[in-house]
Amino acid sequence: MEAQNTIEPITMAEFIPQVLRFKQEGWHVVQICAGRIPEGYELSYSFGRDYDMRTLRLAVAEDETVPSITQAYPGAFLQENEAAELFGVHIVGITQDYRGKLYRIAKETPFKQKG
Amino acid sequence: MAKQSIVPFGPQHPVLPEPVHLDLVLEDEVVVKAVPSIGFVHRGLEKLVETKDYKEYVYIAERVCGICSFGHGMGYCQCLEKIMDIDIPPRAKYLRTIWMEMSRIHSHLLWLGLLADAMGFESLFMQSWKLREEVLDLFDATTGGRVIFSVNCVGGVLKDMDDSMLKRIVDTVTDMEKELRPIAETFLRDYTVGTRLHGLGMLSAEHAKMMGAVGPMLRASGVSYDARKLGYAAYGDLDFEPVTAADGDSFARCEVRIREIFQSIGLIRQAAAKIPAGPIAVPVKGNPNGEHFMRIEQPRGEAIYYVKANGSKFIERFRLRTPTTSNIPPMLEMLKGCQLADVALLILTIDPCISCTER
Amino acid sequence: MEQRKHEPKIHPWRAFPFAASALKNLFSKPATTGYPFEPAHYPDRMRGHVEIRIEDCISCGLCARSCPPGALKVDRAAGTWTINRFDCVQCGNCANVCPKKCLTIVPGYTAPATGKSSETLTRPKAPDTPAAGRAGGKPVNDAGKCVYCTLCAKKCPQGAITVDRAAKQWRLDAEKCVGCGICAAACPKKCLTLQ
Repeated sequence: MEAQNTIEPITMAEFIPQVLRFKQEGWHVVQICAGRIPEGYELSYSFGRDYDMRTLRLAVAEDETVPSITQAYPGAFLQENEAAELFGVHIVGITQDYRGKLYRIAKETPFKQKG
Repeated sequence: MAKQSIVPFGPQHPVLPEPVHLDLVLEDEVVVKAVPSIGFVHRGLEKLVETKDYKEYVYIAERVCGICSFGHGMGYCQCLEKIMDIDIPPRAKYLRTIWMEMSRIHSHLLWLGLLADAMGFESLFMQSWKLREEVLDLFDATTGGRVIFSVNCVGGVLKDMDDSMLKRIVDTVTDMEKELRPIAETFLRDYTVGTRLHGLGMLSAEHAKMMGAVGPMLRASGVSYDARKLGYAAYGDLDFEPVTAADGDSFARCEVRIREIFQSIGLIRQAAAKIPAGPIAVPVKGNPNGEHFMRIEQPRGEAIYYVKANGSKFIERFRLRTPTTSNIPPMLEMLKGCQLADVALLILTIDPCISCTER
Repeated sequence: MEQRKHEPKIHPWRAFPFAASALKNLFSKPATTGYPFEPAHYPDRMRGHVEIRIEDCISCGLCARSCPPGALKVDRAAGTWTINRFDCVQCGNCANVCPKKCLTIVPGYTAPATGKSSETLTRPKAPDTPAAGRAGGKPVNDAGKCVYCTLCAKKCPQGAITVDRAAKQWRLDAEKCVGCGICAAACPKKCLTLQ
């Protein structure tokens, strides 16, 4: 079966409206992933509907804040907390914000530094 | 409002051998809220990819988890094969499919045993695990390991199976099918099991989808989604339909997993009959450059493998979204309103794997 | 969540589904093996521990560099191969990458011990044979016979050889070369010799 699997870059201004559009069209969150780029972070939000998957790609600066999508998708809180705790992405407004208490690890934001 | 109290649950618990900690907010005996925390077995394996050769990392990827180890190695390899545009030989695809389905049988039998154990049904637990041992012996004979198989490589598989081995697999799973019937009958018909599982932890189809449930959890709520239908490996050539159940309770999850074992046995028989002759791997030259999201259906549900490579032999970012990561939010929803005594059983019905979740 | 809707379905003929197996178990041999009083049986493919034919080893160091847990150490000057068997995870990567195929992974586990220790094997001194054609030297190209097919460069496990077809140039990076002799074995014109 051929299914859609695309990565689409998106700007911060278009991001939340697009997420809300996905919600109305019946897409669900598949995964949320952070990664390091020289300027800051790269966030990938994958949404799925039936067998299709579309990934929104958001580039943010290191100290830029990112709005949480948990208002629309409550199930996303775990992976947003994970990105915040392992990479130090500033995600604001998570409905269940653990503030660094989800992962009981010794080092703060261990994935932030390269190497 | 009744007085609220907080009961810490885990990371060590007699019924739940998974290192997850929950703060349970109780009103009398009823759970009103559950707050999880993990990280007790965080090893930073995703980070390790930056300092290991991408071909070497296969052996680390499969060590993320002891139960879905084959799938992790396979998902990582498939993702790199997609990035590097490698078409692996058909025989390798079929071999991967057979091993993957064997993994599913052993994972589901493990879960059935744990479920029986959590209910205190010791003899059923032993019957399930006795049966599981036969799959582990098959793995030992075909790959050289009972838990960690190390047979995947970028570009195919490392070990072939000859006809006598394939025949042994088919014969063993056919015998297992006969032995599984009375066990399945007991799970699905027994009064004790029924009273314990029916109506426990209801999750509607809509809710399951929106909270991100995957795998048997989602299918037990009546949603027909199985990533194997995407046709990776040899699944495109095999005839099967996703197993679903309508009720969305713990009993439905048990039923889905039992029927999936029978389905996997059928898939192994189909694959063994259709397997083509030929090479098992293609040589791989050069380094990957690009990124891809790969979806595969693990025994516990859909897993996502993301690799971002930059043309060097070290990969920039590897992300593994495991089924349990996705199943924890719906699990927390299910816990709301349940009895304290049911908490361990309810957590178990999502088939949690915390070391997968933390990597 | 208070909707337990289970209605008991009693099937009297199935009341004791395991009675037959319970009776059978009473009169049959145990399902488990009698280890340690009986030896454990390992299948042929079992990955238990790594073994080396040290006389074939050329100390190229590829195994040590490809070992995920870093359990191997190779000293080229002393000609030794050291394994910490308690760090080894039996993945078999060393045996897969070994250019001389002198590493094998064989059944049988390392015996438990109270402390970690490592095992060192030293290569016996090579008898004085003519250097050409023997692994251990560096490849030298006979430019007269070479057709610049690039096979040697493709086969080189270290990427030490560069071949420029257009400019008819064959270059060896002596730093990277481990002298495994794979290039000489792959050469269709037999114009490479190890010296």
